[in-house]
Amino acid sequence: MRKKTVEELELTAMLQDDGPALDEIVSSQRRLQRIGDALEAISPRTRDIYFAHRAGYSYAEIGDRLNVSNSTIEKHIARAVLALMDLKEPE
Amino acid sequence: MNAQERNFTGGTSSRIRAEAASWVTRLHGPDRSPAMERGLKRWLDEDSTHAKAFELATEVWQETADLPGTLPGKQSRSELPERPRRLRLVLVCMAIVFLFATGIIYYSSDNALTTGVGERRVVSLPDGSRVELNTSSQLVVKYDEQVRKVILTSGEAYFDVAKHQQRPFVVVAGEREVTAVGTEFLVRHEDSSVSVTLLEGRVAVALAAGANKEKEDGAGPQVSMLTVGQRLKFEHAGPPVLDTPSIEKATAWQRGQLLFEDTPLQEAVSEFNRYSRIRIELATAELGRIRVGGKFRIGDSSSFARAVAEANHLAVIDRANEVLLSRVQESAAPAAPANRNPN
Repeated sequence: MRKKTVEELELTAMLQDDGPALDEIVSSQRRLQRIGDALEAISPRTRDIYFAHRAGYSYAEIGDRLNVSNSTIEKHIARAVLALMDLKEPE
Repeated sequence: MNAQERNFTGGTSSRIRAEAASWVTRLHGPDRSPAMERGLKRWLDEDSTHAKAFELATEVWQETADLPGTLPGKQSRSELPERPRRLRLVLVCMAIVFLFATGIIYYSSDNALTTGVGERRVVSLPDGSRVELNTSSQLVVKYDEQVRKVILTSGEAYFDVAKHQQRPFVVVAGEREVTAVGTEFLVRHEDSSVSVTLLEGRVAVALAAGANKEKEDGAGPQVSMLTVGQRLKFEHAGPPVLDTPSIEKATAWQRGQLLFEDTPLQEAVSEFNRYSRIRIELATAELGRIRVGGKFRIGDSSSFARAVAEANHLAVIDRANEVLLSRVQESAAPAAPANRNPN
């Protein structure tokens, strides 16, 4: 079997491209930074709670750690969602 | 949404947006119930702007899945009220219990995972990615907020990367680095040779930061994308080689096996010797060209040597830390085999 060169590989990759490319990864890093900044502007705690929840931590885990109630966590998360809605589509 | 649409419907008022944010939050919270869903439906039916705002909130929610969050509260932030000392102690204890209970190994900064000869180890990383380290390997974990970076100092590892679109997973091996978002692949790093085999998803292989960039000048692109089943191998100064190895063979070590198929004996012996302190030696280089095949248990050098000997009418000589394979007539005086066979 003939072995392909890297150039051929690159071409194949371009033709079959269906996942994120490196530049997309970089731009998504910038996006992450923007999200973090927008939430940090409300409060670092809102940012922390939203990030933790979206990373998969439950209300119970977050509540235990921060000693706050579910309704407080819910308020922080809703506030974060609202801020991100405004970030995505300014009124 | 384009400008024209916006003119027709007008921007959703901030009150409606706040309500939409609250609905999406509650829908994904611990108190979701049929009654809540009915309440949401009523709210959505009240006004078309509600549905529109809800759609935006849902988009935002979906786009921020998999944020690289950790449990907050470990470091006290300036604007937070200072916690009483005892409570902090309790929190630290809870954190420790949590980490142990979930089997997650938490890495504060640089942490090296190592395996000895013949050892294999499975480790869960803090983001949920899984690493399986093969024999004689070392992996240094350097996670930070932006990048999940690990350095394969030597050896071989299988990576099953948890999906985090915003936080790429980067494996540095010698002068190469492999970037993935969520995928499965193998990296093998021995001396100056690095190979990357993609099992699922996609990865990008590039020169690592700090590597000698001149090496690549005019010798092809800086970044290579791999597709499933491909292996890209860098050997010393030579050009990179791309092939599609048998995946069953490449991942056999994870099942404690070595698979050979028409493999030169020299190569098979090198593979075996990676896993065992008892080394297999060939009396002459000529033996290395014998082709071998079959499925063997890792670490059982002796059985492998005997199977090869039987199939090829060779002699097996057991010594303290090695098993010597030689031609039958040579077995009588194995002390200086190289002199008698200049081949």
